[in-house]
Amino acid sequence: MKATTARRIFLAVLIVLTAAGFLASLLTGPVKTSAGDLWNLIMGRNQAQAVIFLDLRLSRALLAFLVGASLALSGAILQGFFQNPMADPFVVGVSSGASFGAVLAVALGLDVAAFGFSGQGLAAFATGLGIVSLVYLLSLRKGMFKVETLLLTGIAAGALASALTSFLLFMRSDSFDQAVFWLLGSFQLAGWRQVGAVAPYFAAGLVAAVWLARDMNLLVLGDETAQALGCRVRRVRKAFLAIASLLAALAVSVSGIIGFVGLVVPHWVRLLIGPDHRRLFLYGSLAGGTFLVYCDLLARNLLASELPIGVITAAVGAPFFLYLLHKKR
Amino acid sequence: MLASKPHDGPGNSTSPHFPKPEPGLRDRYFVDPVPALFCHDRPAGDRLAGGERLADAGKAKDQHFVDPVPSLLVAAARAASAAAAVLVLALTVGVAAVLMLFPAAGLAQSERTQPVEPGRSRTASGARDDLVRAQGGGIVGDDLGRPQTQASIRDDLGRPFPLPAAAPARIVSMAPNITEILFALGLGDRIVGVTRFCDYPPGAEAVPKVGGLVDPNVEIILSLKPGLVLAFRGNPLRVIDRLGELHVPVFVFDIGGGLDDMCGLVTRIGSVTRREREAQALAAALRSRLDALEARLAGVAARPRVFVILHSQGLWTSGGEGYISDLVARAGAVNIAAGIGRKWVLYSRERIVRDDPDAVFVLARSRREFEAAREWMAGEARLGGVKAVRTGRVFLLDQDAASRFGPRLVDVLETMARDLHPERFGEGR
Repeated sequence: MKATTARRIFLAVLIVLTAAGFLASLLTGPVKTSAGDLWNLIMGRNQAQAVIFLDLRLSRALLAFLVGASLALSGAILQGFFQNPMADPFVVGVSSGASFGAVLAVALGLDVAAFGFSGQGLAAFATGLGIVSLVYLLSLRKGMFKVETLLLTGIAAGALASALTSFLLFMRSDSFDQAVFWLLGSFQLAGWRQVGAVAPYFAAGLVAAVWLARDMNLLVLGDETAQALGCRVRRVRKAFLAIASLLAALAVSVSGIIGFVGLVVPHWVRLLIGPDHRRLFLYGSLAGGTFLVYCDLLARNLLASELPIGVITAAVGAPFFLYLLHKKR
Repeated sequence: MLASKPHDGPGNSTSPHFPKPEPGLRDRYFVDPVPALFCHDRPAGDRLAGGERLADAGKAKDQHFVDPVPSLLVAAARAASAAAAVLVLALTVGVAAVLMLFPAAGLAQSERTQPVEPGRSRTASGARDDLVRAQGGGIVGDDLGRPQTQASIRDDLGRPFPLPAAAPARIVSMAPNITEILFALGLGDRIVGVTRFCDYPPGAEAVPKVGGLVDPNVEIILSLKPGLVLAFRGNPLRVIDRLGELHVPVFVFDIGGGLDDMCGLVTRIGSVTRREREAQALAAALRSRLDALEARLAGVAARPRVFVILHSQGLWTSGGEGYISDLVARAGAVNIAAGIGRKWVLYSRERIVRDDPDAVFVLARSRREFEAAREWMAGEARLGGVKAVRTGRVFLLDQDAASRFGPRLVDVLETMARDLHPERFGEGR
């Protein structure tokens, strides 16, 4: 009963924060706008600011929300998958792998399909899945994971993918902004096209993850136990790996690498509402989206010119990561 | 986690509270009904011992499992601090947002109303119509008041661009050289946005800034309601595409390889902004200065070998494809880096020593920077012996003028020629 009340409060606070975050995203920006302008737009009295409010700010906030939710969900899945609260798409190397795929697709001129899943997104998914499978196989010793092996393998594989990305970017002459985008992430040029590309796949991923959440609860007990309790371990593991890679790759293909969201958010949420994955996936997605909306607000408004959003999330997430590492020793 | 310590073997693991039981039996058949993840109330020692017994039995899956919720108390404390952190973050952002919004609201109101002049319609095309009429209707709009576009040209990215009927009333320039040319064509009062690097000619600093070369802000550009955005190849392609998606007309110019291209750029900007006559005149004036210089330098016997260095950014110089190489050639000299067929090249000290240039040009922003560069070269053991440094033929060039692909390059060229061949300018040494 108590736990239920706590969850309800958490959900209520989260929804209020989300709404406030979206409102603040709509109202702040380099062009000065007031709440009155927004009201006039909603009431249909003044369409002058429509492009700025809707095409630029709303689409951007929505994309930040979707990407944050995807990353947090991907992180929550990976943490359960590796039975390790320090797993996250960035740490495990999926993000770096996906960004390598996306940059490779651009370099090879695969960037043709503009709607749905572009060539870029597909390549990001393929390399992201490849890297995470590689990390999975390399850090699996006699059927178990060692925390250190997993983290180090993931970081090394991620560094390799980042190096390849940097190499590809360096080979192209007009690459500075591209490099910043792919390596640190940005929502500066977000639009409805990207929102449309991410939203359906995120929804599918969320539904699938929640559908399989009971199996994840079993997986956490250990593969043998899970198998004994009726979970098809191998199949479920494959499905989760695919969902986590898909979500991370999607996020990367529209916004570049944004680290630590998938690490920090599921962890916080787990502390607040408990480790049941059925709720963790839902609440974690909501919290992740909200978290990134606020991070994007900071990135836009902290300085006169925009900061890459990866700078903000790393500034929040890296100390947290260090704290976790320290605590576990 | 305890279990990940390498020396944490089964031998030294007996808990003082729970003497090690007979191994095997319990572990083999015991499936923990309340798994560790959900269990807060069992003493730590028990869990420890249990985990290790499992390890003994070879079921080591749980050994490396990191329990995310060690105890209810700690979890509650952490939850509270996490909630506090989230709240503080949210409050800070909220307060900042409120502070930014509400005092700014009144100001924003006045700022917005200012640029809309009475009698001029709000949209760019409407303004264009007004202009067509004001100019005596040289090009007539159709019945609906839309200006007819006569022709379509392609920008330097190869994208078709319908020519406007008249000079757009609101132009955004995304590069300093374009800003300079626009001012030179008498369009200064129509420029509504420039980059933060656009500081020439004097009027340019007062124009609102849309950001830098690589980080122009789409929102600001849109809010300026431009009828035409002039970009160059160094601007991020993604920004240009995004502007295109939002139906802002963008024309992209390339940086050419020489002064002929520069004159071409002037006429192209002239045709996009419908200032053909002014552009032709400006290009002709520039060309005649180039011709005069060519005549003056005709038949120079010795063509000094020159190294051009961009100050304070490593040994960057202009390769054979760069327009600086063309400048050097027109100034009656040879660029030692011309053999490298790129626009900008990172040169090495060894190559400079090997090439032993007769003169060095330093692109610097100020006299002080130039002196610093000259001292550095004289002090650098190997560069100090280079002919140009020994004979004191190290010259200053205005970095701003020389690094912008605009009309001031002709000034730079004349300075170069004067420094390299003073005898041709009646300034015998």
